[in-house]
Amino acid sequence: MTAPTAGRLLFHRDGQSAWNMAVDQAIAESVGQAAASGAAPPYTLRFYTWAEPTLSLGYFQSSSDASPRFDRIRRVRRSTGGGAIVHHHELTYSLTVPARAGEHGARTDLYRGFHAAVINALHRHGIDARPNHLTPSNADGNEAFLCFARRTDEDLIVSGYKVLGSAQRRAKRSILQHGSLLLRSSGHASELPGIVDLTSVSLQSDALLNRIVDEFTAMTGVAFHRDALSPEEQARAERIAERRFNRDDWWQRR
Amino acid sequence: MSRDKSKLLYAETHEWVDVAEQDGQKIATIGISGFALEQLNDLVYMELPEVGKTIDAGEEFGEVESVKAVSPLYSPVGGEVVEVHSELPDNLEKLNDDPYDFGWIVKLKINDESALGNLMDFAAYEKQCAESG
Repeated sequence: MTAPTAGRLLFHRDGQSAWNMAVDQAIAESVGQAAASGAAPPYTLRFYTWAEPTLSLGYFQSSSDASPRFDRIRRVRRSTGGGAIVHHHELTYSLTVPARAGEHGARTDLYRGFHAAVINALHRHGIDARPNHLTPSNADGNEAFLCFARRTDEDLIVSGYKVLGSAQRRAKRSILQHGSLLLRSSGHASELPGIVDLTSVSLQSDALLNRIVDEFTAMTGVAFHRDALSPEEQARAERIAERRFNRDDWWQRR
Repeated sequence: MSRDKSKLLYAETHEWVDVAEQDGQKIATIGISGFALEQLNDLVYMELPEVGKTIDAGEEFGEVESVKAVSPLYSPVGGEVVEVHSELPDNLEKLNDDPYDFGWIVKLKINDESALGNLMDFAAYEKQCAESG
């Protein structure tokens, strides 16, 4: 993939659900606007966790498909597609990049690039992870309600279980890629084990995260520097949270 | 009657437009080009606008989810939605085989013809597709 040489790296711990989603949209909008004005906005890589266990629904999923077992946790509808995720003992990331005018469909190179960085980072912790299409079972299926019970080619598999899945949203001049790395099983979706449950490795999320960034830098040539949201992105995120992700009609859109 | 893709107009964002006169009004029928559909592969969801909605040129009129990506659909012209192809979201598997006839998505009563001047003819659109690889 071709990429600029500098990137922004953001960490947000324990964000509210609507805020977490709104920040990603705010970044995608600011990257898109910069690209449309002829600038070359940097890649923005963001890692975040959630203030409370939260069910995030894929953009096209129906809220009525969420079983009553999720009634007790926070909920939000994402702008990206795919299946629902229980954000509890996991690490969420977003990667936002500029897009050329007229680009269309999924950017497979972004999936493969980021997932390869996670494979290499996990390998450095002694964990064998590989894309679903390279596993012996190469399971398939996109009907399950929960994302981690679905399988597509680029999903990462450890010991037969999916531990990383990603989905993209395209705008005119930017692409937002969301993903979730499942570290440990949640009591709200106990059928889905995480990396720590599947291996005997005690993973520290900060160490893992730094290794993922190092590997992604090695792969893309993009040097990521710690950064914060600009005041414009902050204000934009607040507006988006209020007008979209915090609203009941957004959750009940389908 | 089958639409001839070489006679349609195209937006940079890969929507095609067929403009026809109907009861003294210009009606734009809009769909997604075959080239874009090949890149989107395996559409799983499509959202259509409501009839009666007014959409500006360049504004989103719907969205599609393909394997791993949600993409907006942009209206190449401005106007009022007068008809939507309501059978399409439940028959997306037919779209790739017939993007220019069965694949029509919406019909708009055009309220501003100036945006038509920004669209490409088939030759220019083919050139854009070739350059984007």
